[in-house]
Amino acid sequence: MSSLETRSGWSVIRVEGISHSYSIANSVIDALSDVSLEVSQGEFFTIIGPSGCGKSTLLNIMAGLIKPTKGTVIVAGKKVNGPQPGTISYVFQNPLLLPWRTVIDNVGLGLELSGVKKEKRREVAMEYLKLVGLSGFENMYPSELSGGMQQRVAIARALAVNPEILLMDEPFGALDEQTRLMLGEDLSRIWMHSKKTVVFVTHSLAEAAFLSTRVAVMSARPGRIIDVVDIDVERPRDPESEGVQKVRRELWLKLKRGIGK
Amino acid sequence: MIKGNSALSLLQRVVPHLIIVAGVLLSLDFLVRVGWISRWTFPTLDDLLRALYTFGSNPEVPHGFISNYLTTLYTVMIAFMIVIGVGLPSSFALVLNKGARDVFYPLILAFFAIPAVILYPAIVLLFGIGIESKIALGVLVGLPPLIITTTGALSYLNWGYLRMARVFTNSVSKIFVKVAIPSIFPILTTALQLGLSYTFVGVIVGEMVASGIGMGFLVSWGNTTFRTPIMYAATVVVILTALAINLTFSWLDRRVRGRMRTL
Amino acid sequence: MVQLAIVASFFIGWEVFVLLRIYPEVLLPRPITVLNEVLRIVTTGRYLDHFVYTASTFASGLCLGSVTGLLFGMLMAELRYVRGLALPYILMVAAIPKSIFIPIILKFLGDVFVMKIAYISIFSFIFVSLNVLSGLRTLTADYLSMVKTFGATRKTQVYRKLLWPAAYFSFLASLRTATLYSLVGAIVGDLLYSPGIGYIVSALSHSLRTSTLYGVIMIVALIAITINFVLLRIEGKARMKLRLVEVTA
Repeated sequence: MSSLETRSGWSVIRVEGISHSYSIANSVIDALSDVSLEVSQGEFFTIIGPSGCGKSTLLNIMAGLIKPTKGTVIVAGKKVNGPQPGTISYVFQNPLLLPWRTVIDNVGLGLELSGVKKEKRREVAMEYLKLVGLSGFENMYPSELSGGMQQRVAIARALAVNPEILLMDEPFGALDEQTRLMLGEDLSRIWMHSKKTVVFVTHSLAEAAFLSTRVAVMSARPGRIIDVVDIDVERPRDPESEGVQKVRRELWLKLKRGIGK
Repeated sequence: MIKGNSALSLLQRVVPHLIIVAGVLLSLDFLVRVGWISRWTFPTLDDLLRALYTFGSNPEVPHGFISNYLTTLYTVMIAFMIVIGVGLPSSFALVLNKGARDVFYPLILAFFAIPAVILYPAIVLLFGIGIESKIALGVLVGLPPLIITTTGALSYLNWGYLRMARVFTNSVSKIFVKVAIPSIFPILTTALQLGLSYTFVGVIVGEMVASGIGMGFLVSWGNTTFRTPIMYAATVVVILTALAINLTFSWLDRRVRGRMRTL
Repeated sequence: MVQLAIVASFFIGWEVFVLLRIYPEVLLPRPITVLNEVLRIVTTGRYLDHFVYTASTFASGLCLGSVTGLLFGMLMAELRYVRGLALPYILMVAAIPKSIFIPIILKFLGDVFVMKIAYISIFSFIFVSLNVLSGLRTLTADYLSMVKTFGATRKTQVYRKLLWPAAYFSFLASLRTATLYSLVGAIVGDLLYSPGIGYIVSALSHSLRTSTLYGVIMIVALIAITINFVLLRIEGKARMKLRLVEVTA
């Protein structure tokens, strides 16, 4: 099944005709070519594509971190001109935790920057630490945590500001497979609990099949949307189940065709 | 901004600095001629240049410039060879042998905190005012940084590479020479560079404080006999030598890094 | 502990070496005599004024150099053209034996005390500024993007939450080595120009009062080791607060 229209619910993100090029050394790279998407509220929307296809660039543009050469992004009814703290949160592949701050102070960073007072910050931060399964680690420093744990802290930090939208750029990319699987399951649980809209970039088809409501498949550079696939498998999903595997195969076929183009 | 490695971009980076250096020198020269800076503080530019130009043939210079310069180079070379000869094996022994490390590391950390120069007057008493005391000081000053950086560099040893090599050979020395050393080459060259720089520092300090020959001695002599142009000329020579050493290492480093792309 | 045994055997070896009479005892005294002298110097406060003198040049030079180094390091990290202009010179001076500048500095500044402070501050300035610069530069564009997504768009916020802590902890992490370098600078300055501990050591060697000479050396060594020990903790904590890459998962 494939669908380029929205499902139930209103579209909280509209990407309209995004193209982006940049120059590096002496050449011009066309990263994205006329990308359009709509993401509904509460969806888990994944973008997959081959390396270098521009999916991270697309996510950065959606976050307001990069200004596209052409096109607009509209989030919650407003055009995106720059970062939207409180509305859009971003999780990077590198956890980017401030190494001189304890875990709890890292989770509270977004709140701190929005002016939330200390006691309230701590309260909220502890809540989100619990959500990602890291209660008890609040006074440790990032360098004392494993990569998977650091990424959980980063996710807690992003969620603590209660955004409408969570953008995630290959958050599990640097982690080993076991950690990825565990974090994937946790993320799924957190998403179902918090009902946030998630836009997730990954190069792992298994992740895409397991986590998403819809998956956009991108072509090689310059990136275009080849197709958007509905994932109808019931939740909670088992990554080993035939349904999920079938979706994975379907995605792989579409991806291969996109690379061939 | 012209990017890239072209000769033009190199020029673009060097020219502003040439202008700055020339500007400073010319201003100083002007201030001396006008009398705002005394001739004992700074020479006029042509005096300085003449001192440099005639350095080799200047009969005033004790032993002649060349003897002084070669003595310093020779001293540094010997001291550096001792530093490498003692420092590298010790570093390897420390890193590879946990027992040695546990015992000696705290001692070394403490010992290296002692400023080697405080020992110099005692060294002069024991070794005399000749070249031996400068070699000794050079070694004492150059050894700690070499050991510290080498042991640090060895921590980057990729045990994965070594285990891989172990699959193909039983010879520890072969693994060492063909896999271990090359894998940390860039960091090792930095350690050697640091060691050489500090050895050079030690030798120069020794020559300035108590010596009858050497570039450090010349700077000191030029100063105490009020031969300002010669003092600055000797300083310039030392600076250029130090920079030449550094640039050689940087060039070496870049060539090595090019081939280590996989890291 | 084994280390105490090693230190003890060092002194024993020293004693044996003197007994072998390879060097006349006037040049290399027995450890016992030296330790006696150490006690004597410490209890009578013999060279106290020189110690105070060197301590003040050392402390002033260290403070001056490290604070300006911190500020300049931050400046270089922030402004690309300042970095492009100043960094080559800083690196150059770092590679050169700085003791050759002592006569020049004295010529221009005129006063020995001020010259020593200036000379000593060069060491800490170079080391601290390079460390602060490097610490700030490892905060790649990524960290800046990250704080922007949380709303730190105004420069002051980015500064307080990101740039200043990074600079400050880089500064602390470099303090121990800067201190040790500055100590070396202080002694070298004294060796060339009186007064000070370096001068005392030099004078003692000229008058062949070797037991006192070695006594003073030992005192300086102990002071240096103590300072190093104390600062190791500060450096360790600061380093931990800057560790970006995690140890294995």
